[in-house]
Amino acid sequence: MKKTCRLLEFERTAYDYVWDLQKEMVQQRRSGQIDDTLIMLEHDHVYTIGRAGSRNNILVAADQLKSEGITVVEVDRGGDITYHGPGQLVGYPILNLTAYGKDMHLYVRMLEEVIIRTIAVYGINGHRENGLTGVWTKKGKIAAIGVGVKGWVSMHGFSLNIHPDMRYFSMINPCGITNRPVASMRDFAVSASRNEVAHELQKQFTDVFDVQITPARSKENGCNTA
Amino acid sequence: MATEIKMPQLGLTMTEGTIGTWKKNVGDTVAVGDALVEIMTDKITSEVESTEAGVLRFIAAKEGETVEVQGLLAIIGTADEKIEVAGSGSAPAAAAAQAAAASAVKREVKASPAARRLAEEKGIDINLVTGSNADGRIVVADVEKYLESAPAPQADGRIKASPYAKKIAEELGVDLGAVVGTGPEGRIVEEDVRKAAAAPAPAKPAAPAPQAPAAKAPATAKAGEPLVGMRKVIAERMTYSKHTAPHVTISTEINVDATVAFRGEVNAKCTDVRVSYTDIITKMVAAALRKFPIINASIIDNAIVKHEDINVGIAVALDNGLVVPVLRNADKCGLKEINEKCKDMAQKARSNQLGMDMLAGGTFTISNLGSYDVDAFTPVINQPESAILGVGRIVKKPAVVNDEIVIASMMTLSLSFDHRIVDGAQAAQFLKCIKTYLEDPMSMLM
Repeated sequence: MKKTCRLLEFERTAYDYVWDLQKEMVQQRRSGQIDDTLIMLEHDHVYTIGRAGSRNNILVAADQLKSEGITVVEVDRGGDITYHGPGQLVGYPILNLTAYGKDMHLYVRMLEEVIIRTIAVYGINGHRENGLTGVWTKKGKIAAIGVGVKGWVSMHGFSLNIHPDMRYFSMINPCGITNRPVASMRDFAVSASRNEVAHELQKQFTDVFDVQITPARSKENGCNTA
Repeated sequence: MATEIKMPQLGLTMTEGTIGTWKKNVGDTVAVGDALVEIMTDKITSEVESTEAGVLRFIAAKEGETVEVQGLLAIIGTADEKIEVAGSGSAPAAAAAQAAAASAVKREVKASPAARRLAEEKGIDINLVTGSNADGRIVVADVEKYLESAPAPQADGRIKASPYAKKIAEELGVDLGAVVGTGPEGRIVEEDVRKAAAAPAPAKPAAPAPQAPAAKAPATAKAGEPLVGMRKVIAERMTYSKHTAPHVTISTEINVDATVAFRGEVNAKCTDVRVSYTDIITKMVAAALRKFPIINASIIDNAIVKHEDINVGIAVALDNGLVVPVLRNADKCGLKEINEKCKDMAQKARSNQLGMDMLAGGTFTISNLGSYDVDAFTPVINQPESAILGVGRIVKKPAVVNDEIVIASMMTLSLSFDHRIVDGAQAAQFLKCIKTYLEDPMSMLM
């Protein structure tokens, strides 16, 4: 029988709220209270800084961030700084990785695979770059990946640029990489909506992780679900 | 007895990790499952949790430092035991540890020895228990009360396991964190550990086997090359296979003149591909597996499972080891498709770009050592598959055809099979089937 993975979808949501939710769900997953869950959503403007990151990679002054309505959060995932905001598809799989090969690097490669396959549906050729986790295209990095793991349960995940305002990336050195551009699906003349891409991505996730996706019970965790 | 906490290997390709934040300080009391330190590798952050209850006595690597897999991170001991740090100039370390011990002792709570023992057995932090005696001293009843009131004790990551289960887990190299307990209150018992050891993620051949605690090298041993990364996975998987499956290897020598001619014709007709012998043999093996489903099978949970799909793994040698990318539904692929996919897989394997989907789910493996002038060998089965085919070189030899001695291209095939699943006669028939195809490739169409 196939493993199942619950799907929890949000509209635009503040970063902090979902971060707390993730932490809670990791605990619940570890104690077996919930099944594997894929959270998908879009964030308000936020810069998040991973454990390997530093505020030095923010290139504008604090008051400008404030006037732009951007918050900065230091988080417990791998990687450096990145931007999240409207026009991006963000996914946070809460998975017990012991059931998916118990290999964190393999897990990251699987996430890359999901995104490579998703954008391929829209005719975009994505690839991996040695040592630079994420999904790359000839126009630059189209998806960022950063993962946190506690007791083999994953949190954080990936963000795919569909049509974000690219201006926000220019205010940082994304992932601490200074000389590589960031790309979006719009750069490839793809005009798909977030919901369309999300739907496609779920299909690819189902294949790569060999799971069946079921909607999470509504009202669980007090949130609106798909 | 002090316990060393080491850099875990969290992935097949992980060779080292970087220290993030220490969650505990030297002198802190730690319980089993307490997060000790965050480590970073690639774009992943993971917490290393304590496998022992005790006092954090020594921290071997500061934040930002890089430590190789199985390198020392910390030492957990009792508050007052003498800590020896192997390898380092241990005088300052020992001094630091002693100082830490002193501070730890000060923080020690008052508790009866029996209460302490119970708390340790149950893997709970005695600091969390409230003492009920006049001077706040903790007695057994307090610990019991704490245990009763604590909601779902596993929720915070502690592992409930019987002492014997723990011992077995250590012997078998099973990570208790990954074992589902079936005892009372989800407690892990011996049977759970044995089950977990017997079923190492059957669908994912690339997954590293559970880690056994590193064997302590004798003090006089020279530092060898550490068994890490792919080498470690190969070591574990090969040992596991040999320990699990009673291997039998049979071999047969085949006149492959017709296949040599067949390959020549195919490559002459399709100038855009150059089909290899491995491609042709893969096709033949896939066709033969369709006829002999018992060879395309695995033992899963004490049951023989015959796989519907025929996914043929092809061993690819690398500078530092080997990988076995899998050609899915090989029986449904044409020679051209097999050729293109195999070339792509081999190239990806060599540039370390194989995706998860390319390594998982094999049902049979082919290993070709012909290009190294090997004739016959005894390949080790790639668990949880039931057989593996070793392909030897093609070499011209005198052969008897129609009672005359002629020069013929000869090849030896070696088939190792798992005698738990397959018997000699079945394996021989399967090998004979491949032999027939090689002697007359057209017969594959029948």
